[in-house]
Amino acid sequence: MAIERISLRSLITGLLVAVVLITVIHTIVAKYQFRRAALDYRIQSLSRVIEVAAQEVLRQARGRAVALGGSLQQRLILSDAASLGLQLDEPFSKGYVEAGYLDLVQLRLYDPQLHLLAASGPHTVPPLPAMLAAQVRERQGVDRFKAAGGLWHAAHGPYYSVLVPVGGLHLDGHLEIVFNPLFNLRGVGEMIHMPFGIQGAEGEELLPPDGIGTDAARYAAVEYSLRGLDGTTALRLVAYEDVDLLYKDMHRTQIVTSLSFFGLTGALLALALWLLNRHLFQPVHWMIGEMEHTLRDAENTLVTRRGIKEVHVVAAAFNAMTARVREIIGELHRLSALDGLTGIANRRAFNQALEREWLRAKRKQAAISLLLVDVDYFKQYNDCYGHQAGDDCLRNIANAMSLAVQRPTDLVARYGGEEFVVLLPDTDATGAGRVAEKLQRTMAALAIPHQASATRDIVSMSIGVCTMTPGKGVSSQRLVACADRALYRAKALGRNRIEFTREEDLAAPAAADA
Amino acid sequence: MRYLACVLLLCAAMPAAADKPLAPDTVPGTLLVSAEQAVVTVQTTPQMVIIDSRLGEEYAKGHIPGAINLLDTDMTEAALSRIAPDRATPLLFYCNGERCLRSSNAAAQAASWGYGTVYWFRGGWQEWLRQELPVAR
Repeated sequence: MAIERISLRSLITGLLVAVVLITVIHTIVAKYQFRRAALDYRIQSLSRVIEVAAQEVLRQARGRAVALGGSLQQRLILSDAASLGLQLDEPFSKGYVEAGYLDLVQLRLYDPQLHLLAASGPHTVPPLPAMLAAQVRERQGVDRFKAAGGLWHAAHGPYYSVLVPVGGLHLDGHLEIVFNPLFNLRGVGEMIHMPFGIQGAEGEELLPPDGIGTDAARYAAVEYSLRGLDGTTALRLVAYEDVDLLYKDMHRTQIVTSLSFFGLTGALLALALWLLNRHLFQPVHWMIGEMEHTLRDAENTLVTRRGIKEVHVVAAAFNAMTARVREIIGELHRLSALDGLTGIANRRAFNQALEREWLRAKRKQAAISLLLVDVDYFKQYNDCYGHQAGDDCLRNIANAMSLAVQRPTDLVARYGGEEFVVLLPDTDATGAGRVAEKLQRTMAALAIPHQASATRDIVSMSIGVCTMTPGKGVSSQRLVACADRALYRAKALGRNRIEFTREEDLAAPAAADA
Repeated sequence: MRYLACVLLLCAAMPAAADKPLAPDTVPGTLLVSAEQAVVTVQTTPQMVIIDSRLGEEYAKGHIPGAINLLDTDMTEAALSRIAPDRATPLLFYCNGERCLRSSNAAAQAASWGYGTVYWFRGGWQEWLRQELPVAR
C-alpha cells in the first residue's frame, strides 16, 4: 500500500481503532489466564489454611492428652503391679472429662527405660514407634520431664501418641496415651466451611468428603500432607474448592471490570478522535483547501492559522513563503518592464501599453498621440565622449523626459538605441505638439555639451509626432509607422525640430500594417 | 512539641501502670534459679522442701510435684519451722511468675530467719507450665 495515498485522519483513526481492538482481544484472552491464576492462588491460600487449622487441632488434642496423662498418673498405684492393666482400663470404663475430647485407643505404661509394663483394654495397637522412643531416650536434663508425642501410622490407620512422664520430678516411668487423630481432624472441615475429607498415606479414604455428592467434577481438590514422626506423609487432608462458584464470582468481577474498562476506553477514544478532528484533521483539511486556492489564483490570500502547533507552524511557513514568492514575482515583473540602462519603461512595456491604450482609444473613439524621439548625432557623441558618457547622457535624457511628461497615463519608454517614445492617450495633435515642445525646452535646459553635433553645441533631439483616432481594422503599428515617418522627415529637415503627421503619413502602405 | 512528648510518654506508661509490679531481679540471701535449675536441684537434693507461696485455690488447680502450699502472708517463723525445723534444710520458693511478689517476699523472710540455703524460682508457675513440666494436683 502506498503511504502517500493514506490520509492522516485514516491513519490515526485506524491506529486508535487497532489499539482498542487489540486491548479488547487481550482482555478476552486474559480471562483464561486470570482464571488459572485465581485458582492457583486460591489453592495455595487454602492449603495454608488447612495446614494452620490442622496444626491447631492437633495442638489442642495433644494438650488434652497431656492433661489426661497428668490427672491419670495421680491415680496410678505403680506399686500394685498386678492391677496396672485394670488401672489403665479405668478411663475407658468410667470416662474422664478429657477423654471426651479424644478418641482414646489405648493407654500404655512404660518404665523409665521405656520397657512396657502394662497396657489397657482389648485393642491391639502396634508398639511404640521407634522414632518416638529414640527421641524420648535421647533427651537430657529438664527435657526428660516434658511430654513428647507425634503422629504416626500403621497398617490399621493413623495414631497419635503422647508420652507423659510419670512420678512428678522423680521419673518413675512414662504413660503413653494413644488416640485416633481422625476424631479431632474432622474439626478442620468445620473450621474451613467447605467439603473436606481425609485420606491415608496411600490415598485410601479414611473420612469421605461430605456435601460433594455426584457432582464431583465442579470441585478442585486441595491437598495438605500431614507428616508423621518418621517424616513421611501420614495423612492427606483434602478440601474441595467449588470451582464453579469461584469462576462465577470471577466472571461477575470480570464483567464489571471489562465493561468499565471498555466504557472508559471508548470514551477516551471518542475524546481523542474529537480532539484530533477539531485541532488536527479539520485544520489540515482547511489548510490544504486554502493552499490550493492560494496557488490557483487569489492575489493576496493567506492560509488561516488554526489547530495544533504543527499546523500553525506549517501555515505560518506557507504564508511566509507565499509572501516572499509574491514579492519576488512582483520584483521580476517590474524589472521585466524596465529598461536596464535608463530605468524607464522598455520597448516590451511600451508595446503592451500601446496595445492596451490603442484598444481603449478605439473603443472610446478618442485621439491617441505618439512621439518618436531621436537624439541627434548620438553616434558622434559616443565617439567623442566615450560609451560611458553616452550611457550617462541617455540616462539624463530619460530622466528629464520622465519628469517633463506629467499625466499618469502618459508613458515614456526607451524604444531602442538612442530612440525614445512618448505615448499620450486621449491627446490630440495640439496637445502632442505642446508635449513635444516641452521636451525640446527641457533638452535645451539640460544643456548637455556636444562638441561633435552639427546643429548645436549641446545635445538636441528630433521628434516625430503622430496623432490618430483608431479606425476599424487599423493596427496600432500604423501609429508607430506614422510617427516614424514624421521623425524621418524631422531628421531629413535638419534635426532638432518637431515634425507633425501629414495626410500622406496616414495613408501608409499595407506593408506597414504587417 | 513538648506537650506532644508528654502525652506520648503518658500513653506509653499507661499499660505498664495498669499491670502489676514486676518481682525484683534478685532477693538478697537467696539463690535465683530457672525452671531447669529447679528440677536439677530437686533431683540432687532429696531433702529439699518446695514451698508454693500462692493461694490455696491456685495450688489446688495444679502445682509442682512435691510442693507444700504456704501463703506468704500466712508464713510465720513458727509455721515454717513446723515444715522445716532444721535451719539447714534447703528451701525452694515459687509463686505465679515474674509479676508475683509473694515468693520473693517469702524467700527474703526465710533467709532473714536463718535458713541457710534458700532457692527462689522467679519464673514460677507460668514458666513451669510453659516448659510443659510435670504437674501435680
